[in-house]
Amino acid sequence: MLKISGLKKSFIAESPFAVSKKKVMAVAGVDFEIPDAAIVALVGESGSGKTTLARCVCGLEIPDGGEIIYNNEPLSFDTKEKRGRVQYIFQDTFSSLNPRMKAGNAVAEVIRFHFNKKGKELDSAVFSIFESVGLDALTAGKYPHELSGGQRQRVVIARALATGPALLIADEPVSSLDVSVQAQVLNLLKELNSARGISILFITHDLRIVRSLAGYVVVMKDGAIVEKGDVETVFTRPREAYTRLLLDSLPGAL
Amino acid sequence: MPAISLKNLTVDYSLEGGEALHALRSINLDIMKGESAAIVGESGCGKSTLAYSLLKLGAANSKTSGVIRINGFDIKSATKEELRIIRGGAASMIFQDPAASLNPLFSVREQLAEAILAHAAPRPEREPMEGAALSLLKAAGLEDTSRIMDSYPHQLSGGQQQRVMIAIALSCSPGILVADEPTTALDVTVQAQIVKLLVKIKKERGLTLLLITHDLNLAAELCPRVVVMYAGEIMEDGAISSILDAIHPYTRALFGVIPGINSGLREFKVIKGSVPDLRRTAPGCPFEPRCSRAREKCLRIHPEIENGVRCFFPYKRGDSV
Repeated sequence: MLKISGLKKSFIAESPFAVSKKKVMAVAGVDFEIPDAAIVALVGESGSGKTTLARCVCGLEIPDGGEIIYNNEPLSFDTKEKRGRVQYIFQDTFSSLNPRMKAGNAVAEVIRFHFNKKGKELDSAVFSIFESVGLDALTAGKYPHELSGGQRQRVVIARALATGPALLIADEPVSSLDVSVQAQVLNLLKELNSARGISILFITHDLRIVRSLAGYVVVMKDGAIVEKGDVETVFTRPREAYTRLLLDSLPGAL
Repeated sequence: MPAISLKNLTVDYSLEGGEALHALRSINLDIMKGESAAIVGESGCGKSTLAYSLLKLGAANSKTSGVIRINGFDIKSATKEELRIIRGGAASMIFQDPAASLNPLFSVREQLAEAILAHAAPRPEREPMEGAALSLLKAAGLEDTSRIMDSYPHQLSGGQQQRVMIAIALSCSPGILVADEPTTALDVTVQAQIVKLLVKIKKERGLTLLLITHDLNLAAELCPRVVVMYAGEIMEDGAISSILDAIHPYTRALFGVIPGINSGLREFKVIKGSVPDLRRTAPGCPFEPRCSRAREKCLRIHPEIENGVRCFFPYKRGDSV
């Protein structure tokens, strides 16, 4: 169980010509929980602070205030093992992968670093992870540009799984994929969640995905939580006008 | 006379090693003046190639055959000077990523003026052009237009940028607007605003609208006519507003993969397999390997398009099975 309370993060907006510095509150005191083996969807428009919040959870940003408690201890990233517990999947698969590194090596590097595996043992670990995300051994020998968007996202997921994480943060992982491929990647995430008990914090602005994917949903706007709760309740009886607006904005919802 | 008329349009891309990628395979399509039509399909089915061919914007390695007519005018044999007036004047285009379509080094004023000066015939005077530009921004739903005129693209939000692109596209009063994934890069709420704007502009100006999208729901909502493409061919062409109107198995499969907000699914529906390699041509139906209704005949014989559908075993309109 991951518990976030009073989390704050601000940035100073600096411009070379500006006389005064402007403080932007990206996350302004946010509380919510990610239960074990749950999928929590974090929804909101661009600039609502969802990515900043997620970056705080995985240690890419240091919050200004508030705390993140994981299994009754403050979440920290001071050892390799601790860093491996939370992994991040980004939207753009091209910029997530090194163009000069074969898919298999991208995953092998992580296993070598975290678990000191070498040689045959390393190879078999790589292949078993590839298998678990629905990729064959042939893909391991390919460079990112030789793969389709869906295959690249699977490689990124495989690399995230390589540390044996308890929590995956998936930041718009299917936004740049075709609808038909989106479904395949989403099913993979669902399967990882149910078969391995990995919690997932799923960031999206597409509420159509949320209904079938997540158990809980957190709606953010301007750095604050507008509404949170289990998916059924929020979708069938949204309390806030903003949630209603997000639901009504979807094509096919009118 | 149709606003857009394509006869046997075929586009091949020549690849390294002498291979060719057959992106469009004998497309026949007429879109009437004032009609709204959407072209739908997965990535790599040829929909963007089709949009680019309309205005002769094809890549250097592409080879086009067949006939492309805009308002009856043959685009393939048009000279550079004729194309300058057709682009923007007869038909203009908005693209998926407004940030990439606008030049980061020039203000909105300069970019609007450039479009007008490049495409309008005869070339207008400076003074009235300023007023025209302001009213274009207003027509694109922007407020505070004088500030926006002097803004650079990075000072605008994604939605504002796309509205500026729409203003530029409308600047020479085209009769045809081609919108290639105009909302894909935008937030849901902004998407809905841009869709509303397109509908309003279409109505006010009596435009012919050609929407290119992979979102079948968006297409069905915005356009009475939906043209579904697969592997460089038109698979279905008709009035489709919901899954029950569609009779081609591919169209139904595309509707099926869109998750609904009204009920949760245990598993997301997928279309098994992937789009075919466009370097090769199968003897039968290109969708056969992924089709749930495929039979032996589909493997051998390539179906022709009949009554708006390219399928030997289509669904019945209105039937849920």
